[in-house]
Formats: sequence, structure tokens, C-alpha cells
Amino acid sequence: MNIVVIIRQTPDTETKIKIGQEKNRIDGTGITWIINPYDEFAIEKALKIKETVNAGEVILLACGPGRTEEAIRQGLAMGADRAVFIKDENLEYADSFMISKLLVNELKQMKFDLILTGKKVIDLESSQIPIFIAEELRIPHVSFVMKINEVDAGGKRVVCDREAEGAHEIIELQLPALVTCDRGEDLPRYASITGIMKAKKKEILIKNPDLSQESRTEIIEMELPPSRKEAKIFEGEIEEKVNALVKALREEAKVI
Amino acid sequence: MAKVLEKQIQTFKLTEDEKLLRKTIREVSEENFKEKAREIDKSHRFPRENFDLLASLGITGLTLPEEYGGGGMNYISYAIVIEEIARVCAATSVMLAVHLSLSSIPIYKFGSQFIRDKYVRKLAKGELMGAFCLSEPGNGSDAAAMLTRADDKGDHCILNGTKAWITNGSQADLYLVIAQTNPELKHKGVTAFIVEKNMSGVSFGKLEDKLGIRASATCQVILDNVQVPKENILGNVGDGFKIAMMTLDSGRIGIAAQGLGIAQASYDLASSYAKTREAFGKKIITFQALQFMLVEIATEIEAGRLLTYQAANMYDQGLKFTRQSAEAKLFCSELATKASNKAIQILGGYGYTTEYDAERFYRDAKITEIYEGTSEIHRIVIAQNIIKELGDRT
Repeated sequence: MNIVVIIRQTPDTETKIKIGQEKNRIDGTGITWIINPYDEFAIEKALKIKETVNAGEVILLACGPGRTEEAIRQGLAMGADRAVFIKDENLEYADSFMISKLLVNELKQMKFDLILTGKKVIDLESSQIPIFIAEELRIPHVSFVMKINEVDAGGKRVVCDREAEGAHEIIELQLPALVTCDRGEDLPRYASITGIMKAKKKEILIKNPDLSQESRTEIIEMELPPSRKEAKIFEGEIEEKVNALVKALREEAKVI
Repeated sequence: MAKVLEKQIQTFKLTEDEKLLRKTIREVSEENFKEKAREIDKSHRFPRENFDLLASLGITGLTLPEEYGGGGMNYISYAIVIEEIARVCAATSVMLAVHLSLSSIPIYKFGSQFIRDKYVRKLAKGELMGAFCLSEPGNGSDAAAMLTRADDKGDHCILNGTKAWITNGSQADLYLVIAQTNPELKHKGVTAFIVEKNMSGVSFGKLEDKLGIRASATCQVILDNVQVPKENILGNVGDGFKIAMMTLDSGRIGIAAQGLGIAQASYDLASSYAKTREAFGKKIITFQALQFMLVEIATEIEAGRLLTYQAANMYDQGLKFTRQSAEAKLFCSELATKASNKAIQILGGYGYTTEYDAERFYRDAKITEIYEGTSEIHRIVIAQNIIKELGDRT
């Protein structure tokens, strides 16, 4: 059972994003970069599967600028076996189409039974890449998976648990397949000291991308969402508060 | 000399592993130790579960060699780990610092094959916790004046005496005990022993009720006719003082890192508070009086970190580092007290209450100026080294 986990490096959720000098770029100074949290859930799920079936490899696949190596190393320190890294500084703002194409080209040369990745990336939130890849590779996929219930050691099928509008869908897939991961119960493990030491000796295969494959969309301008107005808090007895609230809704907000 | 310096400065750019280690240990500390730090300080509870978590990640064996189940990492990594843990819980950081640098490392470094095989793997895995017993009720930094005796009985020694201020006392499983085997030889008649907690005659005094690091266990270790096999002698008979001093030299780097962590925590708290708190219609960080306080702490933290890494790096390279580790410990421990004091000042009335952590940082900081050698002892150590260096030049 060989599992490829596609990962991306994103700004930390606590980073305050600033728009750069050029309006279509963010200001990179002072950003802490992390593994996209949903991709981290995917790594954890992949490692769990490997521990269960006790065979095969977990291979990280990433596409991005040089800084991405930090995220790859962390994934290797968590326990992934090796990594393939499509590296080029020009990939910083490559669009979903271009990244998908590059990943597909690479995946076509790799042997895998299952592809795992996050349900979305927290930077541009387009959620297009995994589905694009599954289509291009002509393999089945399922998104937003909380838990992988069963894995057939022979590498024929997986059973996934997907949360859908207050219910759970249990879906069986023929392998090879692609699954996008939600958080679920398994929190990503910390990189252990032995993991960090072992990661040094693990292979990161660097690939140069075919840059003739270009982005089809371009970010023209970015702006920060408007800051939320401060909440208004009504003081006093419950009756006074309700009256004041109704008055404000009617006269100030004009919604009733 | 210039070459050595150049090499040192280059290595202060942390390697990828060291950066990943810092990121990991920061996450581990913030997610697991931060929330309860205040509660265990209040209730005086020893957080063994923090040690067990560190053990599960291999951190209890961080700098021990891989062949004994350790992480095989360098001393800069050790400084990073202690700083990051101290940034959220100083009590947890000293529990690890004593386990690693004051017991596990000397037990490995000076231990015979028998000792290494018997204890080091278990220490690295965190199955055993270590402690270090040098001070006595009547002597602390004056280590040569100890009263604890070890009498030679052929294949074993009988230990009698009381050791005081023992960090991890009553909680640790192994005690590295320094005892007098030949009083006439003074410090040259001192020997190091490994005493197991469950050996007959080992008992513990009451837990000390301390100003700070209240979740760390500190108590007397009482040795009443404890029979210790001679295989448990660390190094040779008479090596005890040398072992203790060498252990303290490197141990100081841990306390420097701890002071640094407390200072960093104080700075982080004070600066984020100053950015949001308003007075006279302005954020208080816009007042120059306050800026100057923050600037001074920020600058000294940078300086302290460089001193600490310098000492750690010299240790890693096998250079003589007594002066540098004393400088790092002296500077960072006094910085911890100063930074936490300023943090209270910046937080004003809130800083004086237990609602914020500033007062805990202040209480935790003070001990770093006292244990593993007081600031005064460190000034003496530095002075002696300076005089020696001056002598070499003439």
C-alpha cells in the first residue's frame, strides 16, 4: 500500500496577513509558514494506515517555492518515508490549474494506491486541485473525509466516513483513489526527536517543473476584508435590554 | 582564535533540524503545558504527566547518544528546548533540565559500561527520572565542605547524610549523590554514586514551600545507612568533585536557557498588553517611557540568547566553556528577574494580580539567580577565568 500525500505550505492561521507593495501579492515579511492544517490531517491519516497495514510507503508530494522544504521536513519528521518536491520560486503564485497539471505529471510517474490531501488549503481556499487531479488521472475520489474506516491490505479498496449535512456517508472506493481529508478524531502527531533525526537521512527528490505549463488565471488585486464593527452591548435589566435591542434593530439597523 | 569565533558565529544560524525542533517544542508546550501552568503553581502539584509526554517524544533523551535510545542532538538543541518550555512553564523546564543535564548526561558521560547498560537507556526513554544531590543543609555553593559520608565496606559503600534543595526530590527514580569518601583529602576525597530511590534507607524530607517554580518538587534527600554497590560509583573513587563541577558547568547552560524563556515570556506578555491597553486616549505602547522598557528587555534577550548559544556551541565543539557558561547563566538569570519585574510594571495593577502570568514569571525568575550557583558564585567563576586568561598573556 503506497500512499502519496500532497501537501502545501501556507501562512500560519495566526499570522496577520498584509497586502504587499504590488496589490496582487501579500507581504511575505514576518510570516510564519506551516503545513496547511488539512494536509497535516492527511499525513496523520496516511501514517495511521501505514501502521495498520504495516506495509508500503508514505510519500509526500509538494509543489511550490523553496521555503516549502520546511513543511516537507516536518512531514518527514512526523514519519513519512520520502518526498518528491517540484521546486521553483516562480510557483509562489501559480494557479490551481498550473499546480494541478504539474502534480498530475509527477503522479503519472509514481506508483501509488491512494492519494490523500487536505480538503482545502487555508491560503487561497479554492479546493480545486484534488478534484482536478482525480479527473486527470481518471481515478475515483471522495472529499471531506473524517475517517478512513477500513483499508484492504491487498490494496483493492478503502472505506471512508464522510460528514455530510448532519449525517455520515460511508463510501467504499476502488483503489487507486483520491481522498481529501477533514480533521476527524486523529490529531496530527508531533515530530519526535528520533523523527527529526531520522528525517535528515530521508530523501527529498527535487524536480524542476515544466514552466511551459502556465497559469490560466491571474490575481489582479487583493484587499483585506473590512474590519468588523465593534459589537454593541446593552446594559441593564432584561426588560430594558430587550426593549433597547428591539429599538436598535428597528431604528438603527432597520431590519425589523 | 579568530577562526574559532567565525565558526561559532556561523553556527548561530540555526540548522533546519534546530528550527523544526523549536517549532515542535513550542507547539507541544503551548498546547499541553500552558493552560495548567498557573493551576499547578497554585496547587503545588508536580506534573509528572508533562515528563511522560516529553518522554513519548524522545525529549527526555534529547542529547544522549542514539545507541542508548537518545536523540543524539547537540547542546544548542538542549538550550532551545529548555527555553521554549520555560516560556510557558518554568517548573516543567527545570524538571527536564535536572533530569537531562544534571543526571542523565553525567551518568552516561562518566558511567562504566555496566552503569550505561543498566541505566542510560531507561533515562533516555524517560522510564527513569534523574536528580542531582550535591548541596546540603549547611553548604550550597561551597561544595567541598560537605558532610555526607560514604564508608568503604569492601564490595559496597554505606552512605549517611542529608542532601538539601534537591530538584525532582522524592519524584525522581535515580539520584546522583556526591559524598565524602576520604575527608582528609577534602574535595579530592569526594566520590559520585548512583542511588536508586527504592534502596533501603533512602527517605525524603517535606516538600519545600517555595516562592516560585512551585510545581517543581524540592525536598531533602536523607540517606540513612544506604548500602550502595561499588558498581554504582560514577568514574573513580575521588572523582566526585570533578564530576560535580563539570556537570554544573554544562548544567548552567540549561538555567541560562530557562532564564531566557522566562524573560521572553515576560516580554511577549508585556508587549502584547501594551499594544492593546489604552490610557489618556492612546495605546500605552505609544508612550516613550514604556517603549524604552520594552526596548531594553528586547535587546538584552537577544544578547542573552547569543551568550547561551555561544556557551552551548563551545560545549558541542569540545572547547573550554566554563567562563562562557557562567556568563550566560549570570546574564540570563538576572535578565529573567528584570524582564518579569518590568512586565509587572507595564501591566500595572493587573500585573500584580494572579489574573495575569506576570507575577508568576517574577516569582519563577528569582530562583534562576540562586540555583546551580548563585550570581555571586558566577561572578567569582568569571573573575577567576579572566585572571587566568590575563596570566596566560603575560
